[in-house]
Amino acid sequence: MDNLILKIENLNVNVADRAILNGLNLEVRSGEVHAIMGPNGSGKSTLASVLAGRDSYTITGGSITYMGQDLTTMAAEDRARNGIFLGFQYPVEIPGVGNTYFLKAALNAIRKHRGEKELDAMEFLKVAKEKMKIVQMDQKLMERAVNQGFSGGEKKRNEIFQMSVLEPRLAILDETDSGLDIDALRIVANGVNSLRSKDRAIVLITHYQRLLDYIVPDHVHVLAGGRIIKSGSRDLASELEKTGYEAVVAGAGR
Amino acid sequence: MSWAAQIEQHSRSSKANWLKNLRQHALNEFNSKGLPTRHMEPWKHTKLSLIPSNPLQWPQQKTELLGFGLKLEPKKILDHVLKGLDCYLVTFVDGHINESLSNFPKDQGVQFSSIGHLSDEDVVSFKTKSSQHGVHSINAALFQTGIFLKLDKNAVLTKPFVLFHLSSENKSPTMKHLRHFIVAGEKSQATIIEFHMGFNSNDEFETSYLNLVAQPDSNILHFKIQEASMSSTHMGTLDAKLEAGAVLRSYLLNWGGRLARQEYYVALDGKGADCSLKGLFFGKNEQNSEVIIDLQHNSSNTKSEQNFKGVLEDKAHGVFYGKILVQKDAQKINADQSNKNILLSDDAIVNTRPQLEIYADDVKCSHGATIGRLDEGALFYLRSRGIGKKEAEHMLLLGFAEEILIDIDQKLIPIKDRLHHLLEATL
Repeated sequence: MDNLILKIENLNVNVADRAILNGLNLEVRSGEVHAIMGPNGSGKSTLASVLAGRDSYTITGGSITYMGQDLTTMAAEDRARNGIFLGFQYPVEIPGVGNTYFLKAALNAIRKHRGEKELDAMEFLKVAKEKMKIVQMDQKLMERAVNQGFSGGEKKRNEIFQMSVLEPRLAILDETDSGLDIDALRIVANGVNSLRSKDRAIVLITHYQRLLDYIVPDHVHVLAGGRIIKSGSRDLASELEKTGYEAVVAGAGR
Repeated sequence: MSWAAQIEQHSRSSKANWLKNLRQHALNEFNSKGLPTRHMEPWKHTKLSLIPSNPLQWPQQKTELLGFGLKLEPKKILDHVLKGLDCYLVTFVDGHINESLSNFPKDQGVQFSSIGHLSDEDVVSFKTKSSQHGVHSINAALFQTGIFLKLDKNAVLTKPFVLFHLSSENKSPTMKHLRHFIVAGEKSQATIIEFHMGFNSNDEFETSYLNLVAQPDSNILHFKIQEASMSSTHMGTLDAKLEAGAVLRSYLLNWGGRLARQEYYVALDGKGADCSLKGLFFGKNEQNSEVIIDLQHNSSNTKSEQNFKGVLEDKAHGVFYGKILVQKDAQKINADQSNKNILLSDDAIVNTRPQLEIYADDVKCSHGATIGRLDEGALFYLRSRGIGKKEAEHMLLLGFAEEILIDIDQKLIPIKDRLHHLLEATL
């Protein structure tokens, strides 16, 4: 199907010789929002990191195909330039590197790759100001070092703000709801919702159903023991909330 | 000729009494101490073979500046490195003052002269100190020239004062020794910038000693930008005495030289004196880059801050040795020290050694040293946004280094730009 963005087949991943993902399968199409839920230690964050190209993971089997290309051999920066975005569970503080400088460099690297003209400081600022509204981000944060001294909520907003500026084809949002109070959760979720589009797929990785009250997914998957054991519609999330993960894991007949 | 013989010869030829005394004292010191050895703690990690065991030749006095086999124009170099900085200036070519390329300070209450014109009365503020080691004795005994700057009470130096030291190409190994004296009178203010640039591909031994007396409530901003040639052994010293309420803020960029060592001797002698020393030291290839600090809190309510960062790659070797001494009766002291280092290769080395000697009780003192690699998490974060690996590393290094320069006054933009340019080009 031509709107298939991501196809993961029988993926096996080790971290320091320990198997974390064991035969994971997933297909994501343009315009869709998928939620991947699962208990702690099930491999959710590993999946996110592997898709973004972190070096510390070893793929021992299976394949990841993104827009028809083999993703596993692509460097992290090339994945980003080709439209993959990872919203970090714990955004990194980078002292001495200005937020504006960083994001402008990132956007221009991506634009250059796409064959578009790089933006100068004024043009970039115009884009940034517009996008800041999406997550009600304080402009003062742009003048600071990347994530340095940001509150938990500000860091998560900054992730979604970056996503809005970089306009990815595939966004993987790792525990974007963790550490947010209810107001911040609403702002971040509204931001994500406004970025839903028919040209973009979003994979939400979350432990709790709470986020899915705000961002309604098209598909819900349960990840346990390193593979997806159950998939369904948004109702699956409510079911999980009621019965807990254990019942689903047991019901999957493992 | 040996160092001792050269020093002896020089000490006899001096005319002014103060100079004769200084040289004589240096001779005695050298005879008892000799050149530094590995047994002396702050020289333990220094590549001592890069300090010449015998005197080198004095450079010929030249009418032109040579480098890379070309005739260089100091004026153009100056315009290039200090883009439009409105400043007072003394240009030295191979240790000789070039008057036509200088703009001597001439504010109200400011006296300026070259060392050669100093009288015995002028130097009354400078007690002849015991030299710390043989390299200081060499400097005191042999310095060819330097400047004397005196600010009267309440005087303000209206422009930054640049001491622009240029080294020309020489056919054989040469040495040069400079010594500057600055007295900042009560409540006076000045910005002093020591700039060293080398174009000499032959061996060179340079010592440069800045003697500063900051009288009560004076305020001195000091920069040292060291871009000596890669075949140079550069030994710099800032020897500062701060009286009550005096403030000294100093920044270092230790960039060039095959062995470049910057030493600080700071005596916080008066109540409430306040000193901050910040800087960056770099090394690539087989460079040796060293920062040595001996800071003494001799009076109550004094404050000090040291913040140095090292970036070493290839087979470079960095040394940070920072001593803080708090005397017995010096109470209510604040002293902070930090030295963070990044090693970019397996063969790069840094030795860092904080040393605290505290004899008073009411003291707030912190120190920390780290040696590490670039933060992998930060690197991945940048790359995950599309920034290439090389550029991401460059951004992180620049961020690491520029933290030191953040609080430099906006009025000194050309200096900031020069520092930024060197960082951009190096990291």
